[in-house]
Amino acid sequence: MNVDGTLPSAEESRPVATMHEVTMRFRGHTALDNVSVAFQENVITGLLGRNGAGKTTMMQLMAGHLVPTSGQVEVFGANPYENESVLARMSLVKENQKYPEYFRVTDALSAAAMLFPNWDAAFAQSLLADFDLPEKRRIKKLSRGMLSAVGIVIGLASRAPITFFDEPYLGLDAVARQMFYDRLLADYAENSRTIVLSTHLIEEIADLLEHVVLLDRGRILADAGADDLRASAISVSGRSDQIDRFAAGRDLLRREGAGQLSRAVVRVQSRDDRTEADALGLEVAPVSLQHLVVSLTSHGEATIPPSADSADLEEVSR
Amino acid sequence: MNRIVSAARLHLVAPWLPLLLPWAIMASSLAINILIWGVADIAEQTGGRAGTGGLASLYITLCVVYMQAVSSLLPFAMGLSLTRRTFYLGTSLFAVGQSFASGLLLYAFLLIERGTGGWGVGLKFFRGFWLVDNAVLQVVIFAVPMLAVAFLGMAVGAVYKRFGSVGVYALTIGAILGLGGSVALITWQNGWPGVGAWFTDQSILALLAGWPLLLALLFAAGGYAGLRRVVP
Repeated sequence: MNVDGTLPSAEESRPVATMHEVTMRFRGHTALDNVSVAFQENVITGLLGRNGAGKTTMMQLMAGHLVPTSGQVEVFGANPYENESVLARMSLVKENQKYPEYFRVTDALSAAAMLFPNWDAAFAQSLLADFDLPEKRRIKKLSRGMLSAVGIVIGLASRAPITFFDEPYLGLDAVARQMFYDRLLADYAENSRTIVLSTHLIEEIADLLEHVVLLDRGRILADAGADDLRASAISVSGRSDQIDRFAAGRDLLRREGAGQLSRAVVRVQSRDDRTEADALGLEVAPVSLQHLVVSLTSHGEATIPPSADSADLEEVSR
Repeated sequence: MNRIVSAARLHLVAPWLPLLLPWAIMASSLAINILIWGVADIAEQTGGRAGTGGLASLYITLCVVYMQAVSSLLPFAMGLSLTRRTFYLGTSLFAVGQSFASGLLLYAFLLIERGTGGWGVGLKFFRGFWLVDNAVLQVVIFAVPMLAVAFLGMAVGAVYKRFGSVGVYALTIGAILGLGGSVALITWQNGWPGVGAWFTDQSILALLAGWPLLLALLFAAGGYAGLRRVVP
């Protein structure tokens, strides 16, 4: 949503962070393979994908922490590498952010206050209270969840025009995560900015996301509006032989169950899909973002036993 | 420029480590030296010629502090969207300020040492090997080697961030081989009289400020080159 509650249309949005044919190779392994992507201004984009898909590498490239093996990275129209005027408008919250070992929570915040031009000290204070963070405690002594909360406070209070959250809430409990979503959304509504968020907890943030970039093994598998992406596939369930018939000639993304009853996720082909499924006696349901992501990225290795119900798919493993 | 100053101020956010720790260590070294000089009456026994290398503790600790500035403060600073260059310039600015402020402080200690007859026991902790009667020159002689040591620390820190502890070991082995090899070469060529003559030909200013300044610049350039591709 934008400030006025409308979805940004393609005409009014413009890319603020882009990659053009970027390849990033580390010793013997390709983290990103000829990737082109554009993050739109003032949109919340979810950067999704499995571990090792290249999400962190993409953010590190955007922040100029890494230099691509080939291709161009541009943020606010310039290469972010060692570019002070670009980075002054950027905030990157990393899951494994390091802090000097003698720093207390309050030290980290005063450092952030010095360096982020849009820093909101009052907002930072209220976030500290929300997350129950002890200001005078040394960061080294914080629990994993509290450590994540420090990053979240800095990321939100920095009010940077472009903010990257890379798996920002390792160790945070469900209440604290909800707090993060609420604060993020409320502050975003008042102070519109570009937000890119990577996470495995897809179901939790699905409602937050306006746009989704799905990475898989260093390539982009999907780059679309969250609603469009959800509408791009349907889930059909029913007798296995009928499922076979329905899936024939269609783009089958995932199939679960091997006995009499099966469920399949297929890419939507036409408006007649639903009618045809009905004719075969199959039940049609929309797919959730999480189910779709699992379907697109599981490479057949994670088949669900026939007895499993949908609750297993939605389960959030920590 | 503002961000460079902010990067320098980053070193003052939790100031006890970078500012106070080196002095605390130096103070403990001074206390031990006063104790030994007092107990063993060393000044009397050596005719006042015995020196102490205790002041080196200050310089060595500072070297470590700057190593940590790169190994632990830089990743944090980059997490707050500072560029490596700005961080390095800010840290250099801080090092220059710290060196000269320390030079002034050391000069004050030197005056106290002289005024108290070597802390009451004839100890020459701050005097060093050369007697310099010019206050400004004395401050410079304290400050410039400190700056060189700070840049050495940053350069080693950059090696550590780039290549890990293996890199630091390799650097250490390389330094030992390089220096040891030079010593062997000079000995083989009977070059020591020449080396000695070179040293005595140098003015105190050149020896304790000029050449250290050149070293500081070399370390600074090397450190920056190493830092440019550091990944936090």
